[in-house]
Amino acid sequence: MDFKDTHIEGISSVVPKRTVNNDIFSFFSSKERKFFEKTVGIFERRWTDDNQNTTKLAFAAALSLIKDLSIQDDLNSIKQIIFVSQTPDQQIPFTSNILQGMLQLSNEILAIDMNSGCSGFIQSLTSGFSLNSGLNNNERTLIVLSENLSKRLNLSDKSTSPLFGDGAAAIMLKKSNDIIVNSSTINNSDGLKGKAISLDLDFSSKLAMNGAEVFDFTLNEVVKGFKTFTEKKAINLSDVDYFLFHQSNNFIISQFRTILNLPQYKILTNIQNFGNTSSVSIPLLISDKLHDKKVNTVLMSGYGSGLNWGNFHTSLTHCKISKPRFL
Amino acid sequence: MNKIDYLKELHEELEIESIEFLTMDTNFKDLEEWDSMTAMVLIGFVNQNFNKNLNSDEIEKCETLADIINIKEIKLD
Repeated sequence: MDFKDTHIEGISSVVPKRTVNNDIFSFFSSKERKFFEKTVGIFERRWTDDNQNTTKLAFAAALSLIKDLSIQDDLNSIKQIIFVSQTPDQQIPFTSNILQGMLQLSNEILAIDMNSGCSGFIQSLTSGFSLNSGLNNNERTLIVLSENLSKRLNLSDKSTSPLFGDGAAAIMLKKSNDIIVNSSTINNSDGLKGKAISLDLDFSSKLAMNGAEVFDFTLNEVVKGFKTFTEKKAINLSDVDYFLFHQSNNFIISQFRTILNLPQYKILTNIQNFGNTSSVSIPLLISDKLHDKKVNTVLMSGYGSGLNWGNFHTSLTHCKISKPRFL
Repeated sequence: MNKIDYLKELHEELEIESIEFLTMDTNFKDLEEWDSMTAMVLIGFVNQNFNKNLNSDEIEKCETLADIINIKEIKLD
């Protein structure tokens, strides 16, 4: 899919204040911990306290974005709100609707929840850009992504519990007849491999992942998807300022770099301090690493549960990027 | 890559300390160090050095380090 008349107007993020380092994982011997830090690359992550939850993080991120863009008096321009999470606080009512109320957005709004994982940022951008095409000039779509995965981890499961962190991000899309930004995307899905990453509906159930199968998938399908995308969309890699991969695992990202022959300085990571925050990871990375930089073209690549993967190529020239806030 | 380098480099990459050196007959899944992280590093090692995708089903089928060479039809010098 290709888009011209919508651009990303702003990106803001929020993470919990509480930092958790690898000390809490008693299953790690000191040698294993070092090996984990060297390969997977996570030294600490942010986890919610008991009085925090997915909705609170989401609200804080969305409110920050509205303030950062100084559009408190123009909330009626927000015609659509998309909420992305795999750890919503409840089944009914759905969270985008709750956020519409908390943020005092107009009642005349399309509110949609998306149950999407680590490729959720790409899926929600594609959805948001598509929905935006029906809007009038200067109208907006708000995307809010929030995850509280720490509450759904089995702390004795070595293959999942040290990987994930909590956080939220908010993105504003604006339809504009005056600002032309060329964006393109391809999304991919393979439901037959769904069991590789799973979490039951019941709130006491914990996240389960087949690490080796997921790693296979990243080296095969995700790499193929990236190549197909750049070929089909005729993207010149040297024109891309930054390649923003979902922050799943440093070892995987460095494999991508080698296999795809991408320059190190164009690949950003912050998994060291935040872990894998699922759909939040790419906007959190932008907020953390690019808030003080002039950025033009980015190629974003998400991949994860589903299994699902996708790429999105756009420009952040007209985007106000704010640094992460702490809740 | 020759056989000796294959064994030596894997010993280093996987940071094996439980045994002094690896042989083609080493049953790698019996190693104290074997877990999902070492599996990931092994897949990465095969991909980088031999340009072959070792998948999790193949790892499941393999027992020794020689099995990996055989299943991926890798030619060592």
